Amino acid sequence: MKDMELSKEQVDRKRKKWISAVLLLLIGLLLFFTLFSNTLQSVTLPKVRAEPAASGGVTYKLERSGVLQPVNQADLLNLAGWRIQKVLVKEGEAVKKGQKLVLYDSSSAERELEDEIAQLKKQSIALENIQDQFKLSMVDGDESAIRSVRRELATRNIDISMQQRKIDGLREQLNRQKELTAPFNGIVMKLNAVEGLASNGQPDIVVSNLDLGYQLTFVADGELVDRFTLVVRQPIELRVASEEGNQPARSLEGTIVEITDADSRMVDSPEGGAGATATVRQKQLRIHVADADLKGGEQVTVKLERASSGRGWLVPNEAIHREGERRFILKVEQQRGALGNVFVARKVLIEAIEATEWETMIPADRLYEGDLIILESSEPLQNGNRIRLQ
Amino acid sequence: MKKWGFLCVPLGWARWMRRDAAAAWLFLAPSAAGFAVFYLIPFVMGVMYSFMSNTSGGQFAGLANYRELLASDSFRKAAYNTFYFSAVSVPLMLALSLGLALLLNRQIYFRKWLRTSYVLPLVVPVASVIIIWQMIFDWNGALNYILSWFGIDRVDWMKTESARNVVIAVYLWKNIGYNVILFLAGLQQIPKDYYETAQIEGAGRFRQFFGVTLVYLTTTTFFVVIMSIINSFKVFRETYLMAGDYPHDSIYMLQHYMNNMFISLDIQKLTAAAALMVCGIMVIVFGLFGLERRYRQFME
Amino acid sequence: MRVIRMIQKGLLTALMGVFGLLLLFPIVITFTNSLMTEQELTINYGVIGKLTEVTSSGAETFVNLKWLPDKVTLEQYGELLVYSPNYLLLFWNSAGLVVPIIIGQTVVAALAAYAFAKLNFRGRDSLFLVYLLTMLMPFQVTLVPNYIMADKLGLLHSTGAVILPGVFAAFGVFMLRQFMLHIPYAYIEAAKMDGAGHFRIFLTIILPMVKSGLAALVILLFVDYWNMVEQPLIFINDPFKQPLSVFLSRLSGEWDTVFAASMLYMAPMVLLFLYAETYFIEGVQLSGIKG
Repeated sequence: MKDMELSKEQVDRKRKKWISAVLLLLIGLLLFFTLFSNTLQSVTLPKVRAEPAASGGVTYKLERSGVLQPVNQADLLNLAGWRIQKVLVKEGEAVKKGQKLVLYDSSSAERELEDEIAQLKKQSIALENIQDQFKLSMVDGDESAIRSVRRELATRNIDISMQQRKIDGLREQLNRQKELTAPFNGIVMKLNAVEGLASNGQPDIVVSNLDLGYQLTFVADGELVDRFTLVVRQPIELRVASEEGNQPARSLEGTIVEITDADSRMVDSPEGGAGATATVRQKQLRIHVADADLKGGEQVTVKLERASSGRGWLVPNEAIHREGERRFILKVEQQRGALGNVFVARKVLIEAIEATEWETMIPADRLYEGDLIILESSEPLQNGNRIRLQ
Repeated sequence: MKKWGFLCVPLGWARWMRRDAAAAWLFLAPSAAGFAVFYLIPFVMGVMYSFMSNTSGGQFAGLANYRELLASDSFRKAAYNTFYFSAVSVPLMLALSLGLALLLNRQIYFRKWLRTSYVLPLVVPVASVIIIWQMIFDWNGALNYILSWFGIDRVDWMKTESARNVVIAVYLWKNIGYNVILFLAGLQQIPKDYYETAQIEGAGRFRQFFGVTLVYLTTTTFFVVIMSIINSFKVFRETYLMAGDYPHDSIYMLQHYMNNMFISLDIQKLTAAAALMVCGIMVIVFGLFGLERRYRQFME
Repeated sequence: MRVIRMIQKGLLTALMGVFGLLLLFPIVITFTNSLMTEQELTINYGVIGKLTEVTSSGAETFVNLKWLPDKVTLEQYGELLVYSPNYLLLFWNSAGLVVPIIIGQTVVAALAAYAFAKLNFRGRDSLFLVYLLTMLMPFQVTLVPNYIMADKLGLLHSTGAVILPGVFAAFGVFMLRQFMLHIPYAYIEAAKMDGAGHFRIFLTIILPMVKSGLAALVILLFVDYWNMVEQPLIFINDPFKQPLSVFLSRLSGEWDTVFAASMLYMAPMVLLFLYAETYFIEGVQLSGIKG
């Protein structure tokens, strides 16, 4: 009986030992998780970066720069290949119509002209001889001699007029080629001429036509051009960057004179993953500017901005994912639990109303005020995945 | 055997103790101070408020608050429900726990394990098992499922009069173990030879039970009754957690009423109701004490 | 004859066993369900709080109480411990309320119980009766004055408003007095002869002799205050300072955690009870019977 009591007590003690061990283990476990649950969470949950979606409309921007080119310019050169005697203007200089620009060395041509004149004189003297012969034959009355002399006389007259024309041509060439003059009011755009050398095949001087103005040509995405409803003959504002930077940029008014199709451009599609490309339709625009102060070659900028008419949520393009034909974004959903809030990634299907290169506007009913859009995450997310906000 | 000794003065040490009065108050000081601040003074204040027209700077209003309170339907309903619940559940509890204690007191295997399983509900936190009660007593719950086997229609347990039965069931589940161990202690204190004597005198089992067991369990029974009444007030916690501030009318207890009066800041009604409840409890307790004393005198 | 006895005993045991299982049912089912996946629970219990639907086969929907999980998993516990740090916060809140109350009440009550049990002074019994009566009152009775008192003491909305009334509650005094009454005066007298003061008597004689009473008190207080709902609900308005008991009831329907949460909440109590079951039972019995 006493033994039994004893063993019973032992059993009881053993049981108590067990229970206290379990109890301590439990408390220890709870303490452990109290201290480390945050750490465990950070290890197991994908970390995301999220931002609230902005409400508003998309602002389209078209910004292109280029150098103003003259609409019309003349390449002036000496076809005869004469040596350049003197250059009268400098590059960038404004010239009046008819102003002398370059003088050429014309001595060889002058010499040729004198030779030809001498030739003419010789022919005149020869003609006089023939006339004398003619008179003599008229006196003789020899019919056949008269006819022969008369033919001779006509030939000589033709030769002389030919020679005369040759001389006239030479003289005119000399007058023309010995100098280059400005064909119109303009500006010396380029000066290749070097005194003492003959021209090397390039135009010796390039003069722009001031009266016809300048133009800017650039290429833009077709969609954007449509978005701004740009059409030919539409006025457009240009800004001239000041050269020193201390003067305010000047604004000019130009006119679109031409819109033509340009080559499409290939871009990396951000939605399709690595390596995927998409073609973007492009257009070339030519804008004409007429302004007295322009000299050509200025750096000008076209800057257009336009807010879209509709309003919605603006989502950065990097937040948009593509799944087949459908596009979606992931937003942060806060699930209120009795034990605190839980953040979950929730898929929101979207259709873009309007989009720019960096953001997309989606309909206003897709999101609520203050919804956070997931921009990036440490792991690929599925709908309903639990996440940890950065 | 001394019974209810905590109300009696142990005799014979008066002289020695008189010198101890100062020491006694020293020992008592922390408890008495805290008890006064957190129980006694609030209680007196509560009684005072119940006679005033306003909590702060109010005037003596006599029994106006009580008149108003007694005129209030919801108070009457709450008081009735509380009384009804105690009146039904306490006898039920007594019978069940006494029965279980008697069975457990007999030759039986695994007695200790069984006792443990009866007491365990007592230590299980209410909040932990609320979900289980919901699973059982829901409109789609397990109980209705079982009833459907027998072709009995569903009962909306929490939203009809049956809510009373639910509360009684929960109360029994939770407190039966407590009373079983009280009765067990009482049974174990009955000397074996009483039964032997009764047997020799030719008393049957039935007589033995009424003549010996019940008689000697009287004191325990009184205590069990008091504890059961007190615990029956505590069942509010379960109903509150299960059904919220405004449960079905049939289980709207005085505690609900007081709680809601507190939330709606109707201090007068609350304190008056509290004072009435205290009176009620005191009447019951002193009544039981008196009954017990008379019974003991009668026995002796 | 012996066989009949054994059969009788066996039948009785079986009957009692069935009843015991009925009582244990909520605990067991909480445990087994805490090992189920959220999916399984949603399928089986999703209909709670909904209107009845009739399925295509004509059967009505009911809760499908399940004993055993299809797949045993610790998912719920992981969810609770790793991803719901608030649960642990509230758990420690509960502990932070209960432990000071237990320590405080045990110390305060032991001192007072000694005075009530072994010292004589005028008005002792009437004072004790007052203690006893407050023990019987529901919490709501002193709700308003308590609230005003807490407000005046600057305790409102702090844990102090819950802890201090707990520390000075009458229950501990009552129970320890019951235990101390059993100590024969002879011990005290002997010590007195040796010239010991009251405090030394209290420390060296009384306390060691009511060790089991203290243990029982600790468990009973733990049971009582771990369970506390009304007081924190009213006195603590910061949801993150409240104990788990208030919170757990709001978890119903959150199938991913609710059973594990219940389980973890009851585990310390159940373990402590099993550890000190004898003290607990002795404490309950002694407080009720002897004296």
